Amino acid sequence: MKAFISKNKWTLLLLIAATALMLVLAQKTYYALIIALFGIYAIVATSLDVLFGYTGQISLGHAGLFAIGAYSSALLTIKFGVPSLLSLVLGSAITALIGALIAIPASKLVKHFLSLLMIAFGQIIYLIINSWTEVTGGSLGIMNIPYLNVFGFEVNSNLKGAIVIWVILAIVLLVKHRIIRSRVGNAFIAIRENTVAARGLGIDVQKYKVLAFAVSAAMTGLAGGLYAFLRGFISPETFNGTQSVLFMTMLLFGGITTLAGPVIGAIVLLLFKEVFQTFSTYQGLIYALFMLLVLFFFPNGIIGLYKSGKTAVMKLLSKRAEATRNGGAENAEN
Amino acid sequence: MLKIDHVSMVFGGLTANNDVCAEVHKGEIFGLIGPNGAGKTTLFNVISGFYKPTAGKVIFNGEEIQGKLSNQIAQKGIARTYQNINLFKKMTVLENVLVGCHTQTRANIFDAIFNTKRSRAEHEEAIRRCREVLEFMGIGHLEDSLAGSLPYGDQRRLEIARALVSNPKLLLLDEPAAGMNLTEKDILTDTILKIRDLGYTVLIVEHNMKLVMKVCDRICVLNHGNKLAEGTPEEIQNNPDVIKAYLGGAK
Ligand SMILES: Nc1ncnc2c1ncn2[C@@H]1O[C@H](COP(=O)(O)OP(=O)(O)OP(=O)(O)O)[C@@H](O)[C@H]1O
Ligand SMILES: [Mg+2]
Repeated sequence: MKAFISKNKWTLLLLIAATALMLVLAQKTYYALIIALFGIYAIVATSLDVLFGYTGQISLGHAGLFAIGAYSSALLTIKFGVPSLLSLVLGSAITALIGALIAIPASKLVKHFLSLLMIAFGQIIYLIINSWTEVTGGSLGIMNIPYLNVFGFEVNSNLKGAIVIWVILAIVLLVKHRIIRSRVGNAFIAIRENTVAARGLGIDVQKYKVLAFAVSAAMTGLAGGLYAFLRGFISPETFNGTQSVLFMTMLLFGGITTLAGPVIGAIVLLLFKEVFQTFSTYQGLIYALFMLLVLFFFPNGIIGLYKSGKTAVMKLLSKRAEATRNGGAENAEN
Repeated sequence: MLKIDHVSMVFGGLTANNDVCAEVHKGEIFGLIGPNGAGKTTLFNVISGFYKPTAGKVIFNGEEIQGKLSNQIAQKGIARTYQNINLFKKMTVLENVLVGCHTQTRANIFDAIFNTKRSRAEHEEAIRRCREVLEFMGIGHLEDSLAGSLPYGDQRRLEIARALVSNPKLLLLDEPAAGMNLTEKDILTDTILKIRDLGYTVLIVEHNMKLVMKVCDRICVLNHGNKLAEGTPEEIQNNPDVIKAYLGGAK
């Protein structure tokens, strides 16, 4: 623990500063909303990291899973009177199940079939929530979703929402961390690195691909449910294809296979989206440009940039320290 | 232990294995040799489930395994190395070997999420065993290096370690000495003998005759997909057909 703290001194300091800043900002309800949304999208980007970063499967249809989480949580509470927290959990489970059902046939086929299937899936879900008016409210969506109630704590303001969501994000990050360093995580990475060798060592590649997908879907479904309860209303436009591209851009921009990368990517891209809201027609184009920027100039994302920057500074510092020491020695001799 | 029963493997018009029969006994080192393109690797791929043979059976401890998936065959206790190294390059040496423990460990996704006592104990035990095997293969000091950054010889040793850590009933080695220098080859020879002495059964493909003749209890020679001869190292060395095949296909 001590070693961990001293090794990650700067990272932890940054983290504390960021938390403090957010808590101050969150006093304004508009900022609180944005900060809560940061958390929600950070969960989605994290879920994509499990799938893409660690297991090597691309999905450009996660907006569909996000929608399933949001709609099922909202409908369970409104139409069936299920307590909101339970709806949130069930919504996540339903999304995981549907995710697994798509991944089962896809994982048996050639490598990029899943990506294509997921694009189609995202479109289909978008169509369904748009046209199945009796259940989903069609293009108007669902309104008056009750507040989330966490064991008696009613999340009835954006500030409370932001706090609850960031606590849940922390739990999601812990879960991700634990999965990745476990036997299961090792199997995920092995599949990404060398599928043939993974199979040869007894890993049931199909099973683990489906599992990675289910885990990712569960996280995204959870984020969807949180979104529904936070906003109190949902409509199809939040879940269109551009949104799926946004999720993937968040992950790539922040940096894959790290804990902080997807979180930072989500924050940066969302800020960008807020600032340039007027250009919403060109959003898809802007994400595409972001992605190209990342791929060309810093393929390891912001986190990669931060890490290499840190190493460079450390090197510079240690060189300087050495120079002073040597200089001191020379002076002593003279 | 392993019975190869009239196995044929045909690719389009090319017969890589033609009606091959052989039997590997428990506790021995069985050599599979032959000129380039003789069909040795193909036979390995059939045994380990990467290819489904066109005809014939592979019987492992009394059970037909031909056509089963390679991960199922690995679960039954057959581990292998590859002629063209197949490591997880961006994982560390220790992580590579940890993946090798997959069949020996049980922790599932819920164990991982809740970090259960059982899975922690299992993980620690796996790490201990990995370190032991890395030490045995002489690469213990490299556990934190990335597999892809290792010199060739170490990569080959790591592949053996990764296979060995699963406690296989049968270990298949495909040209383990390829690309090694003379000292490394001598060390490897000793290591393979030690592996046998630990009670493992080994099936080895190797072009280095010095190594093959020193370690093998019995040898099978393949030529153009056909079995040419089988016997002890002395018998094989003095077999006129074998000498002709090797001289004829001199390389
Ligand atoms: N997947 C495949 N598709 C088509 N032909 C194949 C395939 N695998 C092997 N072959 C062919 O089968 C023959 C035997 O190949 P194999 O790799 O088994 O030989 P080998 O004995 O291992 O040779 P080497 O000593 O060079 O490794 C070769 O002619 C090869 O081209
Ligand atoms: Mg070969």
